[in-house]
Amino acid sequence: MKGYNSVKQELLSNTILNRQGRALLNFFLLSPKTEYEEKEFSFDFSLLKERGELREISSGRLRLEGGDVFFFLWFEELKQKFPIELSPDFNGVGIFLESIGNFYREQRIRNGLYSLINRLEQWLIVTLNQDFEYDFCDYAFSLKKESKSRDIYEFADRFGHTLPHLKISIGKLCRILLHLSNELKDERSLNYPDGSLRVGLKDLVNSNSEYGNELLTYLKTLNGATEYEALVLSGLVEIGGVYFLQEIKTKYLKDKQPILANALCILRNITDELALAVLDVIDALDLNNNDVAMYVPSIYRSVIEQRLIVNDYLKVRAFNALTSMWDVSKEIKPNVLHQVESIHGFEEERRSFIVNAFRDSDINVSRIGNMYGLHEINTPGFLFSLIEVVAERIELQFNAKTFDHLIDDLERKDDGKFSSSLIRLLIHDNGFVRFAGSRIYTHLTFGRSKFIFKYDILSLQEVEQIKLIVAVLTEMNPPQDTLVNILKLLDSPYKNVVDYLIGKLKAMVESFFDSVSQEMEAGIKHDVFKNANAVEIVKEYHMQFVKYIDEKEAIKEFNPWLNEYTLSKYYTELNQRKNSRLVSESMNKNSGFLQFATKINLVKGGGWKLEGKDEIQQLGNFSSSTAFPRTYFIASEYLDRIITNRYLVKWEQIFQWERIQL
Amino acid sequence: MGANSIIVKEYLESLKEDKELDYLFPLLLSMMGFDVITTAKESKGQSQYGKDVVAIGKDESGKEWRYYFQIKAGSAKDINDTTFNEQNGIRSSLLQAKDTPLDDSTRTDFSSLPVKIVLVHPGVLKENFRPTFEGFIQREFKAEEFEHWHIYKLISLFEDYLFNECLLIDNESYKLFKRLLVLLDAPGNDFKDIHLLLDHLIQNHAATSGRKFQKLFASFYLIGAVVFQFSKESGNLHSARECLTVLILKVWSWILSQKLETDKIALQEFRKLLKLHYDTLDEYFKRTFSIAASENGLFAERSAFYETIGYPLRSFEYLGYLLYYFEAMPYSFDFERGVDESALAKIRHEQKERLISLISSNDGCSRPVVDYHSISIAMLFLFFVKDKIAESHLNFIATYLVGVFQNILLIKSVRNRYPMIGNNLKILAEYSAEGEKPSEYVDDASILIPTLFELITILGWEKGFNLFKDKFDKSLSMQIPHPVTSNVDFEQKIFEGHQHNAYYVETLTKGIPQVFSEFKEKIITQSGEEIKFRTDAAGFPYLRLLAHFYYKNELPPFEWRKYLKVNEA
Repeated sequence: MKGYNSVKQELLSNTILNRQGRALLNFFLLSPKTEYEEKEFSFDFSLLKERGELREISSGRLRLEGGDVFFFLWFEELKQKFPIELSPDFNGVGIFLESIGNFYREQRIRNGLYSLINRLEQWLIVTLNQDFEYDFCDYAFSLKKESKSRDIYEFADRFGHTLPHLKISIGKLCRILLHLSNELKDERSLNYPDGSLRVGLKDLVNSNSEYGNELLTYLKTLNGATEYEALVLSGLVEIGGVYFLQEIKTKYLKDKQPILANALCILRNITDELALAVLDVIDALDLNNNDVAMYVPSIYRSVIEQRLIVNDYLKVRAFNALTSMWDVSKEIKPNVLHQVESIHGFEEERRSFIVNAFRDSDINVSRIGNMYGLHEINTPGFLFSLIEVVAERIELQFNAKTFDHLIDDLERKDDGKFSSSLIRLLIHDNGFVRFAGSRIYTHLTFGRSKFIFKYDILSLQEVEQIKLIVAVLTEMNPPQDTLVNILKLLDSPYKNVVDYLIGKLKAMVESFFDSVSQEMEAGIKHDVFKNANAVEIVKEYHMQFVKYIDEKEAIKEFNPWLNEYTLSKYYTELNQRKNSRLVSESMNKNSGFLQFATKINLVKGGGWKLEGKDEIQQLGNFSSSTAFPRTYFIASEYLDRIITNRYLVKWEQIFQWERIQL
Repeated sequence: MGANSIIVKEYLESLKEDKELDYLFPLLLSMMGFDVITTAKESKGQSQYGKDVVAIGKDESGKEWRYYFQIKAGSAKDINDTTFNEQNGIRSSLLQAKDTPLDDSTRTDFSSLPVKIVLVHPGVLKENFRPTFEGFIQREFKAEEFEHWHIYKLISLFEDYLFNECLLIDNESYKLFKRLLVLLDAPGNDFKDIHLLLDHLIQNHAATSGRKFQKLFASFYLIGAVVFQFSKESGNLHSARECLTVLILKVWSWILSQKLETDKIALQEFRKLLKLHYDTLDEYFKRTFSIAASENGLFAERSAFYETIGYPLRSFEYLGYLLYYFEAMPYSFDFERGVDESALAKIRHEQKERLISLISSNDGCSRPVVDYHSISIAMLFLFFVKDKIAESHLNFIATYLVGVFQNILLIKSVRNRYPMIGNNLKILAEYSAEGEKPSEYVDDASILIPTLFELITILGWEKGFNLFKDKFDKSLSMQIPHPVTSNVDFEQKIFEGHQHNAYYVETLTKGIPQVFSEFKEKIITQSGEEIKFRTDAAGFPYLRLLAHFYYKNELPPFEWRKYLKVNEA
């Protein structure tokens, strides 16, 4: 990157470049965006493309990256509109850039333009440094995090990016860095591997090892500069390689292990030779020291992930060393798990390690929801092993949402293995695992398109078929979500299974009325099952039940809307008010329907009946609802307890409840 | 037609069956000065030979007659070709009345009096049938031996002798009675008007003897009969059940206050009211019991979340009324004498089986949500244990008590609340509907829970006692209510309404004793002195149960503790 005066001289001497640059600027001013179709340009832009100021991102499509030429010309243009004098005054640059930002914001400029403005700022920083020898020290010290302004974050970012192009004395650079690190302890620019200050400093050292060595010597003398010392050290290792590492390791191993580990952690471009040396150095580190051990998993990951390393032995050694760190300390476990999750390759070993890791109570299960690295190794076998381990550990706290990204992944490409694994979960002997299975089943069926087992459930044994009916036809699952997966068992060769299933279907009629027979008729029509007699039995039962309800409702003495009007009205109004409040709170939190549906009680049919009226009262704007079974209204506390207890007892006990004899 | 006539006409026109007129017709005759010898209800099951009501009375000229009243109502209320000529129709009934002699020993001069036959029907003579009917009457009866009381005649008589004379005696009575009828089936009716009407009549028109007394009781009966009839007409006996219960409790309270509980005439009149109340409950349970005893029959299918409290509240209320109805049943013929011992044993056995069927089908009956549900539970317990108890019934009641314990603990565990102390159900509704405990919801004390422990102890079931003795919060104040007997007429109080001052509360400061025998010993030694109730002496012990249940006054523990003493002996 060149400063203002250098670019000005270059353009004066290179008229073609000058012409191409001005043509590009004029086009940009007419159509301010960062991506263009190549055919839009009627001018020659070959030189600009060569210099990287325009980059081809796909066939016939160009992105305006900007560079010395474009920024010089744009700046010249902008300062007509927003007067600025380039002088050793960085504050003026800030105001100037803010005015530009506002101007383009008012014009509703598309995304991408702000990064262009950022790079313009970087160019101005380099210009100020090169043309006016401005070192930014005073300006940096004027910035405080507590001022709540964005200035310090933006400066740290721009300064980091431009650092390799700047000429600043080591003393002043260190003062600026220390000030920024004090102010921005928790900020990305400083603490993340791709943070601009870190990248910039390493690039600076990489580009000038002499400057780097001097910087390292100076940093050693300072308090609170270990992070920078590690960065510079890392940059110097990248340049000096194994030789430099061997040279400094003895001293650092003796009294500065955390800095050494930190430096190795941020090494880039590791070769086989350097990797071997690095692994040897790690072997010599004191891993019982958490300040050291915290960096080591990342170093192993760097070795495993490094493309320059061709010797697989090194990667295997690094992987084994990484996984063996599990037992080092409780504190290090999350980091080890994260690195194992994130690396590529070693799939079987990673699956096994991760499943075992979640047996450990030190690891929070909710992490799984954010472990996107698992997609690479996600298989039904792995996922359901993991679910089993988690279910046994957290019992009835199991939440299918934690696994939804992994479940959805497999369900989409189910070839039978996913369904088979889920069925095994649903009929598992361990109640907590069954609970997990039921949560996942509900997750797959609630509020989405039909989930259908891609597995022949008639191949299950008699007792397994019964267990599956118990597991799927639970009180809270409406027939639309369940029957399609169970009706096939009406063709079971086992009489017990058929009788039990018909009994369950009849019981469902009491909560879901003709939806049960409708689902059954659809099942017959689509060849899900063949037992037409069962349909007739359930339809007959439905008719009897409806008749019973009609007789019951004809008895006015039992009608609460007549005889308990005041209390029932009061109750219903309170209930409605509570639900409206929950809906409102839920909507304010921008949470989805599923989340709120777990809290809100809605009655089958989309509302509830009021005062003997025939129409159903709708709740707010929601016309869909959770269907509640009749048993819930009869004895909600009992149902609540039964639902829970079903997962706390053995199958034998459930069979007793269900009056099943095998 | 005046406003009063409209009420009378509506009442008479609403009568659907012969027997429905039976309630008020004898009363009308009494108020007209007739001496009623027999009524249709009294001759139930026997051939009436065309004489539904027999009475002695004077005609307008002052001549005394034997009156045979032939009542036709319901589908036969109008006189036409069909009702006249059908089998057991008007023609044959009138001829039977004329041709069949009748003796009665209650009046020595009965046989010597001339006979007058009166055809009574709350309908009209159809004009196209008039010639046939008039021809028949002229042919079969002398002019002075036959009278025809049709709807218009009846309206006039009812209005003059009953409604105007007794009930609608002043503007306030008229206003309250009218409002009672208008609002009878209105949703949300709290039946305040029947309380006001009865209080007004008692305060302003009560007398302990004479014509005024007769008119007062006629008013009471009239109110009951009309409410019963109008409730039937609307197809909802809930209001009749409530109003007639208030009626008999208030009237008995007044009788006690006037020390009339040994007065033969007062008892005779009160029995008529008891009978009317019983008939109401009889009709109520005939209409509802088979559905109520079906699986979750008392659960209201369409009232959704309200059923969380609605179902148990309705169940305990139904159970309480049913227990009173069962208690009263053996006396229901005339409320003077009960059935004999063997018949009683049979009735009680059947009743217990019915209770078992109701409770087994309705979980709401064993899920108390308010502390005063202890009353229905104790009534049920007493119903089972006071007579010789079968093994299966003993098992049932023990299982029932365990179920109640379990449900209290279940609701505590799932909803974090014990049954509410107090009668304000809106507070319970708030807690249940909103899920947050209102500050007015009190459940840090209980009368119900120690009552359950006592009942289980009466059964001598130590294992059951031990199952639950440690299951309740230590902070829960276990309370036992005892009647205050000094300077307070406890019996009078419980018939007056819900009482706070008629009880003193014993708190078990250390909670339920951990050792069964200790608790049992406590019950034996502190069983308290039994009160000699005037209501019991008058022959209506079951009436006290109704008062406890209706006004939500806890039963005193001596009611059940005495059965432990008997067992011990």
